[in-house]
Amino acid sequence: MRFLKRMLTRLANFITRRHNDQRLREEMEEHLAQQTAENLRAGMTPAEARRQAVLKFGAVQAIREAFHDEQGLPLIENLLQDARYALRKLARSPGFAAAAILTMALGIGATTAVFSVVDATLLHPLSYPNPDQLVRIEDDLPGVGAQDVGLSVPEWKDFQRSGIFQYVSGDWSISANLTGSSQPAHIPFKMVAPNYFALLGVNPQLGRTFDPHDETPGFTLEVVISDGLWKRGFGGDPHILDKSLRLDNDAYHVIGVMPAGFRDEGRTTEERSADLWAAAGFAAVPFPPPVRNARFTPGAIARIAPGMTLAAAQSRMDALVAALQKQYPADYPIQSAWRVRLVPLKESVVGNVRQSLMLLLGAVGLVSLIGYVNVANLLLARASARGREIAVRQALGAARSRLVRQLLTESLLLSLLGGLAGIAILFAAKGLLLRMVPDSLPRLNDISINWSVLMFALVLSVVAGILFGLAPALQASRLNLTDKLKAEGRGTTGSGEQARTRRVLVVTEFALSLVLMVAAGLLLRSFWDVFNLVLGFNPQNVMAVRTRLPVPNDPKTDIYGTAAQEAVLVREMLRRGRTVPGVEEAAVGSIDSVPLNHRRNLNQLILEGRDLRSSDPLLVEASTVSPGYFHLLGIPLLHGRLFTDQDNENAPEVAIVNDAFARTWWPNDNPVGKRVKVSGLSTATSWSTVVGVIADARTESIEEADVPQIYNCLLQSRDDELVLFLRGRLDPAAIPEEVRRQVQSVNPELPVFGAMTLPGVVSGSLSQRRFSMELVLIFALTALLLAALGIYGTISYLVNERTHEIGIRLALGATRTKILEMILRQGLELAIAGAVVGLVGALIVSHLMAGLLYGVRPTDPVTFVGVAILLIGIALLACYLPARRAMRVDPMAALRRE
Amino acid sequence: MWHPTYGKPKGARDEAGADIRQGALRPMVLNALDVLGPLHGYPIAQCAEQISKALLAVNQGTLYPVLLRLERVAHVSVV
Repeated sequence: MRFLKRMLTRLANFITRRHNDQRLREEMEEHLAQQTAENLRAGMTPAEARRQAVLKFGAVQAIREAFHDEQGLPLIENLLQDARYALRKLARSPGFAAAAILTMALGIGATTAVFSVVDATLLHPLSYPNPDQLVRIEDDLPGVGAQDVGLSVPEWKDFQRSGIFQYVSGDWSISANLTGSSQPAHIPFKMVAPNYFALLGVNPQLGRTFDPHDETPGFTLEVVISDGLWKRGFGGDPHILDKSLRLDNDAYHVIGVMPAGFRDEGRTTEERSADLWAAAGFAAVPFPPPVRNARFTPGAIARIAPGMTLAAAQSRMDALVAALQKQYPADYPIQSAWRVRLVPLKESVVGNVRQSLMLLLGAVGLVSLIGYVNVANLLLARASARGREIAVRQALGAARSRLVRQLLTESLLLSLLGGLAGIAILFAAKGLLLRMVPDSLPRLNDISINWSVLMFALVLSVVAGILFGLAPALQASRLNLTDKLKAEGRGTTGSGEQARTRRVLVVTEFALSLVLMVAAGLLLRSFWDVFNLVLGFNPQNVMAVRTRLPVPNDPKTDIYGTAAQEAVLVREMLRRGRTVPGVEEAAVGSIDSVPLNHRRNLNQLILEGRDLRSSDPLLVEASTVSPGYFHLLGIPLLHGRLFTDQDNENAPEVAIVNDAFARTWWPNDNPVGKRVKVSGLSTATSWSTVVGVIADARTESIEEADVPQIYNCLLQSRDDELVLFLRGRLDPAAIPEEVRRQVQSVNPELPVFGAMTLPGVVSGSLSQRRFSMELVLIFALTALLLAALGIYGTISYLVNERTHEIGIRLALGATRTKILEMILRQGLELAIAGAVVGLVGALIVSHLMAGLLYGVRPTDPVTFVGVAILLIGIALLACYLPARRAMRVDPMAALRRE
Repeated sequence: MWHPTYGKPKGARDEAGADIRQGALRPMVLNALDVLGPLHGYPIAQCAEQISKALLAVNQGTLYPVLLRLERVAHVSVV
C-alpha cells in the first residue's frame, strides 16, 4: 500500500515534473540572490558576492539531480529516453525499419484478422440472456447408425414436463409462400412452440411475441416477423400489427416485429435465415397425429431450468430416456439404442467450423512466427553491427540489464509500430477481407474489430516484441568487452554464439514453413481429389429453378393435395419447360433431388418381408422425381427400367433405387420387383415396387460415393418443394424470368425463385474446402518466401563475415568450386536440419487436421517427401546467390581490405 | 515557501537512509518553521546557520533535499 502510494506520488511528480523542477530552480535562485545581497551588504564587490554565495550554496546541479532522483520514475524516464533513441535510430535506417515494421504489420494484422473471426464465432457468447442455459436436443439411434433423427411430439411433451428444462420448443425451419403483394414470395420461416421467444429471452421491437402458455394443438395463426421482412415486404409499415398475412393461402395475424439484430442461431444457413415465426402445438392438422415414433420435427431447443448445470441436465435426461425406453419398449427397440444428447446451442452452431478456424489460426500464427523470426534475424544482424556501440556503452558503465532494456525497447517499439500498422491495414481492408469469408460461416455478422480484438493485437505485439527482441538483446549484452573492442578495431565481426543463434532461427523458420507447406499440400491434394472425382452425373448445361406449392392448414382447401392433382401441374411444368428457348430436356423433382443440396431428407424405410422389430427403423435418403430426371442428369440405368409417363396416378406405385441401396439391403437378390415403403411426411405410405436400379452418383455428398438412395415417381407421390430442371444451351440470365412466366401462367400464385446452375452448385459445395485450402496455401507460400529470405540473409551474412577467410583459402589454392561447395553445404545443413524438425511437427499437425482431408492419409509420403525436397531446393537456390559471390571473391582485395 | 504541518499523517513514512547531516538539519528546519512561520529556503538556512555554524557554513544547498524529504512525508508543505 505504502509502495503504491509512493509510486502514485512519483507518478504525479513525473507528470508535473517540469513544474517542480521550475519551483526548485526559483527557490534556489532566490536563495542565491538573498545570499548575494547579504554579501554585498557585508562589503563585497558584486562579482565576489555572487561567487561567495554560489560557493556557499554548493553544487546546484548535484542538488537538482538528487531532487530529481527523489521525485521521478527513472524506469519510465529511461523508457521514454530509450524510445526516443530507438526512434532516431530507426529513422536513420529507414530500409531496415520499413522491412521490420511491414513484416510485423502483416503478421500481426493477419493473425488479428483471423482472430477477429475466431472471436466472433467461437469466443463470443450467443446474444441471448443466459446463453449457457440454452441447448439443442439431439436424438441419436446409434444402434442403426442414425444421428440427430428428430423428435416426436410425445417426446417433446415428456421433456417439457420432466423438470429438467424451463422451456422446450420444437425448431423446424421450412418455408412458405407469402402472397397478396405484387409478386408471390417464398420466405424462410420457422415453426416453433409458443414458448420459443420466452425460451430465448428476447423481446420484439414492436407488438408482442407468442403467449408461452398457449396450448393450441395446430397453428396459433399468429406470426412474428423479422425486421428485414417488415422493411422489405411492408416498407416498415408502423400499422403492421393490425394487418394479416397470407401464408400458403391461410391468413395469419402479425403480432410482433423482432428487432433488427435478432437472428436464430441454427446449424445451417437455412436455419439461421428465418424471416417469420409461427407458433404451433405440432399435434393437430396440418401435422400428423402425435405418436411416439413419428419423429417429424427435425429438432428442438431448450432452456435448462435455472440453476441446473449442463452435466446435471444430461444425467437426468439419461435417466428419463431409460425410463421411457422401459415404458414404451415397442417404440424404442433396444437395438436402436435411443439416446438424447444436450448440445450447448452455441456448440451446435459453430461446432462444425471449429476445426477449420483453428487450422486457419494455427496457419496464420505460424506465418507470423516466421515473420517475427525474420525480424529477430535482422535485429541480430544489426546487433552484431552495433557491437562496438554496445561495448563502448558497457565500458562507460552501462549495466547489462540497462542495455537489455534498451535493446528490448527497440524491438518493442518495432513490434508496436508494426501492430499499429497491422491494425490500420486491417481497418482499411476490412470490407475486402469480409467478402472472402464464405457465407456459410455461422455468426458472420458478428465479426467486428472490437476491443477484445484490439487487445489481442496489442498483447500479440508486446509478446512478439519481447520474444524476438530478447535473443538479440541478451546476446548483444553478453559480449566480452575487451574482445569486442579489440576485434572491432580489426574489423572482423560476429561471435560464434551469434552465428549459432542465427542458425537456430533459420532452422526454426524452415521447420515452421515445412509444417505449413505440408498442411497446404495435404489440403491441396484433398481438394484436387475431390475436384476430380467422377461425379456420376453430368452437371454441365443444367439449370434448376425452384417453385413451391402452398400447403394450407386445412387439407380440404389444398388444390395440390393429392398426387393426381399435383400431376396436372407437373405435366404442365414439363411441357412448358420444354418450350423455353434453348431447352433440350426438362424434368421436375422434389427439392431433395437437386444434387449436392446438403439437405437432410432421411425417411423411414420399410422393406417387405423384413422383420419390423429387428430392423426398425431403417433410414434412407429419399426423393421424388419425374420421368426424364435420370436421363437429364446423365445417371445410367443398370437394371430394369426408368420412370415413364405411364407411372401415373392410375398405375401401381413404383420406385427406383441406386446401386448402393441394392447392395446394402439386397446384396444377393435381384432388387427389381421388391416392394418397399418410404414414409416421409408428405409421401403416402403405401407399398411401391422397385422397377429399376441406377448407378451410384455423388448427388448426396460429393465425398461419399455410395449413399443408399431411393426415388419415387412424382406423378404418383406428391411433394410441395418442386424444382424444374432444364438442360440445353441456356442463358442463365434469362432463364429465371422465362420460367417464372411459364409457371405463373399455370398458377399466378406460385413463387418462382432460387435459380441455380448445376456447375455452380457443384463448385459451391466445394467452397468451404476451397476457402481453407486457398488460405493455407497463401500462408504456406508466404512462409516459404520468408524462410527463403531468412536463409538467404543468413548465408549472405556468413559469406560477408568469412570474406577474409575465403580470401586466404583462395590464396592458399582452394578452387572456386570448393568454396561454392563449402557455402552451399552450410546452407544445406541448415535446410536439412529444418526439414527434419519440420517433418516431425508436420506429422503432428497433419493428424490433428485429419478430419479436413479427403482421399489422402495424414502421413501421405508423396506430400511429405515432395514438400521436403521442394523446400531444400529453394534453400539451395537461396544460398546459391551468396555462394556465387563467395566464389568470386578476389583474394587480393579480400586480404587487402583487412 | 515552506511551513510546518506538525505531527505525522497516517501512512506517511519516515525516510530511512537520511544521512547524519540531514538528520541533524531536520529538527532545525522544523524548529525554525515552528517559531517563525512560513519561510523561504534562505531564512531557514540562516536560522540553521545561527544554531549550528558548522552545519551549513558550506553547502547550504543540501537544505533543499531535506526540505523535499520533509515535504514528502508531509511534515512541511509548500504555500
